[in-house]
Amino acid sequence: MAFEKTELELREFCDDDTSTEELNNIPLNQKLATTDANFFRSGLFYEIPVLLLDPVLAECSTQQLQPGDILISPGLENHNLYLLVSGRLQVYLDKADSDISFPIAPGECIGEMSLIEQRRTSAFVIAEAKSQVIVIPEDIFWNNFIHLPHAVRNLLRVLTQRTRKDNEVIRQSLEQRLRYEHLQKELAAAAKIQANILPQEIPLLPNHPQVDVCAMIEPAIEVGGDFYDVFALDKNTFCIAIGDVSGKGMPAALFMMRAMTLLRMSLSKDSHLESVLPAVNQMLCENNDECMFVTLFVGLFEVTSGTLTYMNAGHNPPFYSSKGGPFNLLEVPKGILLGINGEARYEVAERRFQPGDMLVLYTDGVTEAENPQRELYSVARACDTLQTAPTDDDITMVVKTLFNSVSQFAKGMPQSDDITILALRYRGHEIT
Amino acid sequence: MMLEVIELENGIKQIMLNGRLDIPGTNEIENSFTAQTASKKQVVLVDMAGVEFITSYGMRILVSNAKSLARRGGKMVLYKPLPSVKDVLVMAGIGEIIPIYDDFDAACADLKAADIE
Repeated sequence: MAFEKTELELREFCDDDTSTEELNNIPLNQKLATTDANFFRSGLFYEIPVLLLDPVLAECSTQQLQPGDILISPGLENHNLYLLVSGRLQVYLDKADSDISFPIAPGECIGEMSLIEQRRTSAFVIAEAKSQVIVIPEDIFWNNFIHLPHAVRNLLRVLTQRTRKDNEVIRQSLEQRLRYEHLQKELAAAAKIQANILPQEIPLLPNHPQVDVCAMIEPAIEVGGDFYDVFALDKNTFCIAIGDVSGKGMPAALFMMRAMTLLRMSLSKDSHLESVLPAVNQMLCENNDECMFVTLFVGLFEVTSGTLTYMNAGHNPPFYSSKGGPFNLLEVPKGILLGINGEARYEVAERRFQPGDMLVLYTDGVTEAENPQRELYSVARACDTLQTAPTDDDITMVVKTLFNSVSQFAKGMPQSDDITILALRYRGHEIT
Repeated sequence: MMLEVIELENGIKQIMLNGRLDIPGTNEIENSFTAQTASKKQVVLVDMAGVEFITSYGMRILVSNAKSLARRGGKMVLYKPLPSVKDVLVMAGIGEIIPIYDDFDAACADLKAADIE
């Protein structure tokens, strides 16, 4: 206590007695942007007598920083110790925009590690606000400052505090990483469950030799909103469906599972589309506060007659080619997306397939794929591409040709939407 | 994605959307769009002329807000979408829930009628 009083008196003495001849001795603290006397009694300067400290500080300079100014960059030689007088600095441990960072407040110093170790700097130090630092050059630090009473103890304290802070930052970032890795695993598991619900056999419908069916899905992000379904109702009839849930990620995936499950269950109890689709729609509208919705094209194909009975709920009309002729859009009855309007009405349409006729279902990830010029792949391009697809026995080539063409068109643009393609060719009785 | 609001003299709120209603674009305006539309009973004309592109994700905010607006006794119409955007809206059946107009007076008349009810 007695010492502090003396120190204060000494400082007051110095401040009061700042005559012109003494200005050279104590110019620095006059230039400082702090009037807080405690500044000189904390951190690095704790308990160092002012009369001894001031001449050392007089050999130092100050530096002004504007917000965004970089004081220290990693990998460089450093010959100064910086002491923050006012403002705020932020230390970024790896990159300038890293999440792993901590603040430096007035009174704290920076650069001491590289200075002591004589190694290159290891972090970015960036001014977050208008700041002022005292610059203590290397030679002043080693030759003068370090010999001041209490200087070594203060420096060790500063270093210990810094280590503690670093540890805390590292611990937090490790914790975050573990949490992130855990979520990644959960997401991968969800994506797997979602992929497993889609029929994957090659070929699809092996017990219905009257048709060749193949499908593929390429999600834009791990868990997507697209789906397709192909399943037999009996030995004569099977269901094909394709859909796209609004939105992406986990919510879309959950809604998709709901839609698919409802459709499968409803059709297994009642094989009349005209009653099933409105019922599925109604169920999807219930408890749907998030207002998710799903497009759906669904059809029942009767293999002996080659008749497709189908309904459409806001989905892109499929492509149809008659006996190797050009592909055109199949005419579909209008109908609103499922999940919006519980009272919505849907109409049934029918198409009689001849042997060789082909149907290609797809989602808007195909027609709305963009190239770097922001042009859309479009229905017209899809029809042209399908025309060039090999018409041999392998239906998978039709799907692959269209998908490859979309990928080439997008020329490395990030895929913004799921891409799903399902192709069906009617063989009729040619091989039965 | 940009959103601009004009309070018309006839009591209709005109919301002009500009840009792409894809996932990032929709995320940019979703909160302000909801605040401007579904927060109270009112009649809203959504000016779609500046919307270059719409996905199902973008349609979702139109539909969900039109529905909450309807629950509050208000109404939303869509005005003058580009032909490419209109095709997508019509194909999805959005017109069944939110009327689509190319004629400004007709759009206003529909909203005024709803406002008086």
